[in-house]
Amino acid sequence: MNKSKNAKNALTLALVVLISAVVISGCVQQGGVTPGGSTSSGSGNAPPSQLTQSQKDSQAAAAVDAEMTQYIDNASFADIENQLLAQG
Amino acid sequence: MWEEYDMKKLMAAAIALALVVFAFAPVRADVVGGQNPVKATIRTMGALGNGLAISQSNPLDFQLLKIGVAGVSLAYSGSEETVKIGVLYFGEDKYRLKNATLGNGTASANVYDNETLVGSISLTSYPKGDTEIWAGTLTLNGTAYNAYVIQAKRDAKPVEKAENVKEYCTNNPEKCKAVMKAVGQILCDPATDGNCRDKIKTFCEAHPDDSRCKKLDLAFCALNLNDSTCRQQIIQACQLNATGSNNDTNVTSDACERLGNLYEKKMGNATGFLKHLPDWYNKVVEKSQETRKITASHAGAITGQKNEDN
Repeated sequence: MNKSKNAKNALTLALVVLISAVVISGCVQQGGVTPGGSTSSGSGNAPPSQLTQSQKDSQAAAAVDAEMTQYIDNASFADIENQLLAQG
Repeated sequence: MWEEYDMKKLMAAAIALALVVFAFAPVRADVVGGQNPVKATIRTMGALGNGLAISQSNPLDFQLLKIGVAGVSLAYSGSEETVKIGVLYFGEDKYRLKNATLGNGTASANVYDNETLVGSISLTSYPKGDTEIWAGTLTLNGTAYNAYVIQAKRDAKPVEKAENVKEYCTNNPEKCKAVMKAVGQILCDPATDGNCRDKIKTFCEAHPDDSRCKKLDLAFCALNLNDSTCRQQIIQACQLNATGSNNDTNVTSDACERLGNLYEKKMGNATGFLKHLPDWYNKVVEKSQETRKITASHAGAITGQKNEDN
């Protein structure tokens, strides 16, 4: 009876630990996620408050480059696709 | 015996799992801290599109162009700043645009190859139908080109629109309230509620198609004509107005008039501007001329009255 109780306790403990792992993992991941429409990436060795101008430029240029890919390159492919579809 | 062995195994598994979790959690936190997430959001879009660069000395010396230049908001460690920067593709060669200036339908920047200054670009946008065409000059490695770029169609993302709305309501709380009231129920009163702007931002990011959010965004755009995405939004709203598909409101009329006035100022610089003017623009010009006539006749009446009084 006592052994069975210990086994139950061990199972409960394992469950608690698993839930903790999931919660902690979720919280940690949330810290690195940014809302839609933005980019998030590393900035080398410097802490964020000490980003160099070059690092800022790189981050901002990457965001602009992403817009170009989305609205110029991908749009061009879509146009071609539409033309081909229209031609049957 | 069997039960005792099984229980020991379970206990061992539980302890091992606990150790793994406690060892793993700080490592993950360090990784995230080490990544230093930087949130980059487009705040003001200038030129974005592809086109041609044609040598000023030899019309058969031309190259494909692709350009993107914008004001980008960088948020990190609780601080936020805007960097005006761009990317230029001249054929297959990639350059960076720095020291960018984004005006009302104008964009200029210096062209850099890595850290070396190799030229400059200066463009002005002109409306052609429902599209803007950028025209200007590009100087690259000592050669001068005429540059033409077709502005790409781009919709502002919900997060950008929400930022626009927040900025508008922060700077114009009474107007913000009036715009919401004109369309429907107010979400909150930005003039009295300190948290209202954030509430509106959160709401509009989640509901970008809400009529109040759309009107507030348009009202923001009317005051920020240096943003090409905003100009596109205004053009779309003006076109709907011109065809009668949109319920005319003061916000839309004001935005159309402001953009129309901006384009009208460009007329002196571009002789071909008067050809193929969009319908909405003609409507704005007609309305503007009517207003001027009314204002002039009203002023004349007052002057006449004064003369009679004298």
